[in-house]
Amino acid sequence: MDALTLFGIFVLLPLVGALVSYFGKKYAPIIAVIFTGISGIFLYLWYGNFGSYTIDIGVKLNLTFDITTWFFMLMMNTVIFSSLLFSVSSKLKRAGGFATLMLLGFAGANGVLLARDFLSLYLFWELMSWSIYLLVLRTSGEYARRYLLFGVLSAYLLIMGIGMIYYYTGSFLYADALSGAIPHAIWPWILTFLILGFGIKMAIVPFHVWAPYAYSSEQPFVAFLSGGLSKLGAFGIFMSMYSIAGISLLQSFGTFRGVSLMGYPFALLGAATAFIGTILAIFQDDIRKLLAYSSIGQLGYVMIGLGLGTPLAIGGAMFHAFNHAFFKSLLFLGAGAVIYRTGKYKISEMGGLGYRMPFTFMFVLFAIFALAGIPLTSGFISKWMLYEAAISRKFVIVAPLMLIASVGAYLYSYRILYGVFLGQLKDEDKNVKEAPGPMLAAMFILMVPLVIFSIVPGWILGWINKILVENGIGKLNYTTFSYSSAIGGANMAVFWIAFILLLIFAMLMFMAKKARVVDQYDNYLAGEAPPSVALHAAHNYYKPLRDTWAPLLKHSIDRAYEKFSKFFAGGFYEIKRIYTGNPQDYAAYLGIAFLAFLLVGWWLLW
Amino acid sequence: MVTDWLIHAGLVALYLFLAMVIGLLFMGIARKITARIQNRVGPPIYQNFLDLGKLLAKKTNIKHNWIFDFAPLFGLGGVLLILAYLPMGGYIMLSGQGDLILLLYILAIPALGFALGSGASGNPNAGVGVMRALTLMLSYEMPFLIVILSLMIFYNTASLSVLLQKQMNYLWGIAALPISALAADIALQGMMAEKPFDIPIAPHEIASGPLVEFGGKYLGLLMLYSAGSIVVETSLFVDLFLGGGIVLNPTVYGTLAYFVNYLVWLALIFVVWMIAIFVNAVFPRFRIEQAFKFYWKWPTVIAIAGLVQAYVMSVFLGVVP
Repeated sequence: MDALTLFGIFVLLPLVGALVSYFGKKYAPIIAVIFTGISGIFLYLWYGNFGSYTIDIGVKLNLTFDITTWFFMLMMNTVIFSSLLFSVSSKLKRAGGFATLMLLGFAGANGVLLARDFLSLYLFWELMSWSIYLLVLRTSGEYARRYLLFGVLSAYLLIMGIGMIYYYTGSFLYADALSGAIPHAIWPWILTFLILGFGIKMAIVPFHVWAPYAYSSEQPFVAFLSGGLSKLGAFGIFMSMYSIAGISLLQSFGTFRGVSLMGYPFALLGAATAFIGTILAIFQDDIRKLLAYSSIGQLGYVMIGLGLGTPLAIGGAMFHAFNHAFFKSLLFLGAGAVIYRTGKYKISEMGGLGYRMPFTFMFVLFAIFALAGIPLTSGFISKWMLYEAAISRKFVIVAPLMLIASVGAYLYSYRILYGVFLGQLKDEDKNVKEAPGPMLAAMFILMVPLVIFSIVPGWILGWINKILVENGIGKLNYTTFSYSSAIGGANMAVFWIAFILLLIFAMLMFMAKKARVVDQYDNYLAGEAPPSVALHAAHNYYKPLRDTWAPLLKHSIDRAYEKFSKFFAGGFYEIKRIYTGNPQDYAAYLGIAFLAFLLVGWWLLW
Repeated sequence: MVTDWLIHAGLVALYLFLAMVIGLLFMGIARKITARIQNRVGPPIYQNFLDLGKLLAKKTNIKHNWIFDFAPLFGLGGVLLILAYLPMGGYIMLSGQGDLILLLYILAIPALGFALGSGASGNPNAGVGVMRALTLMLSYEMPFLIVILSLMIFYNTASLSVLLQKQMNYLWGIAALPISALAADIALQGMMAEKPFDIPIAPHEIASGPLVEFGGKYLGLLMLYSAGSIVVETSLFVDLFLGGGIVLNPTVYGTLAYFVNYLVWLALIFVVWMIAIFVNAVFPRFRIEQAFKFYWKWPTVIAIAGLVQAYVMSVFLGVVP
């Protein structure tokens, strides 16, 4: 394998696919699925076939295919494959454009993951970023502008970081950054710019306000955006902190309980993100917004892990990014299936769909298990790693915020389950059918790893361990079925055996007697007179809690930005008013300006 | 090797069975004591065994749909799983194979199954009940998680079996971290959903909330679930703060130690249960937002004070238990 083959399969092939599928009309998603499938097959075949290739085309560029890239490509490829498979049957308008833009984003993402020099990183980053912009634009110009503002900010921050490195080293290669040319005092600036620039893509508070809008676009795309592309932020932060700068440089800025002072503030930021994202998610009625805030919160966990920077923490961050890629895109696709069948977005207007769409319900249920960290899925293990990383180093601010945010996740998880799938089925939804086959297949593909890696965590921990060892961070303690930290551990084989045995026991007790199925309105109403009450108690579900939080929810970062922009818009309006159109006024300005110059000149000369 | 495993599994089954019996007995005792406090005669203390037998023997059982079955299945299976991961009377069962964080998340399995089943009933009271239960959970978990964190920081372990070992060798949690123990006991009242925090089931407001649609074998199995939960919650407190009831070192005294420790553990969980019942008998009910405000105010402040104590002792004073 050489650089061109690598580049060809992972970047050029999706670009060709983008071109072909543009003319595919309604078959465009199928063509796109095939193209992502091909690069997926190569990804599978080339595991272990790693290498680094430097090309000199006037500037030195580097493409590297290593375990870190492979690990992130695995998420990216599976998620886009499922999203496109889902979109095969979702009857999108202008499907050709959709498939093209998705593949452009995919090519950009692969490029970012392969690049080990800042020039190609930046180019592919922009390719990815602009295709997201255009995809959001398909839904709403307003949402797209909000995304664009932060996308541009992210690009500026990245350019600042990259520019500072290039100014000192004169090279774009990651490997040259540590050559010693960059003064020690400049590093914190570079890292801050890079981390914030990548952090915007992860929707870190206070740069999260674009996410709820962008995540309200078409669901197959949002599944890829939230599940796949947002992980590029995590990848970028990981690269800039632990590959470009390296752990010894980070430690040289001083440490707090063994954690670099350069990383700890970002861990705090991540904890705040996890908490704020979760609390805001609890109060959303629009399912897309709920999932968006939940996504913000979950990526906060990833940020915590990357900030803490112990082997267990980074391993947890990697694992959580992996889990999040799968369960969050599964949730978005599940929401997409429900929206496709009912045409509704509000949780309170749905209800009872689990009886009509049992497979969708089961898949979403597993995603919820992973989201809430129930040990039946691998979502638990990544959270466990992050907690133990924080607790074993005795971080008393980060750990409680993480733990309570995880309890908050139960609240919004149940809001999805109850509001959408349980409760009373509305009369107008009586004839809703199960989601079409490709949608179910897409969701099933995403569910499988969540369950497998819960039973056999050793496999994925092996990959993550390799990443950590290769970047000189340290290693994890694990066997095929169990994992442990300095303060504890768990064995998933024991857990699963005990769980299955006890569930069988409960089933035996339960199966002893048959039960008669009754209608949903045939229920106990505590002495109320009407024969039935059609009431799905999902409207404003957490009202008492919302009332308690009302004084705090008044302060919104979103609205603060809006006020800020209004202030400037107002200011510009005031400035515009000096163009009155009256020549006398202009003459007066000239006179005033002349006087001012005269005074200043006089003061300077004298 | 195989016989060892079988003996171990048999002992676990015995402990789980005893836990269920203890839970039902405790429910009966609670009914009797509450009645006496309120100057009533009350049912006999074996009443709950009769109730359970009646419910499981009922001929007509009604269900709404297949998701409805999740409640008894996950409720009973999950609570047994938690019990297996909790040391009882110093017998650590599976808790050598999974630490406190795993336990915290297994605690959610029966609750989630129960919430799914009751949500599937379509009764609005059930939906409101689960909403209250989850809000209450968010409320009491705030102090409770901080307390757990203080314990883990102070004893420098996340494993329950190691925690018991260290409490046996050093000091019981309640002696080392009394402030945290206080906060934990207040949180426990909410965890057990006893008055003033019986908001989720509030029989007079929302017709027993999540339980409203269950009858027959469904209610019977859920009764076993709540019996198990009583043992889980009291035993959790005893394991965290009262050394799991270990007074004799099992490595020295062998089988006798297990026997004595079990009795001590039983006495201790009875005391913890009685505190909850006495409070329950004399208090009226909070509204859910009051409960939330209460828990995020005083118990949280107390828990943070406990955390500060644990942090100062372990980090600045270098106390190593």
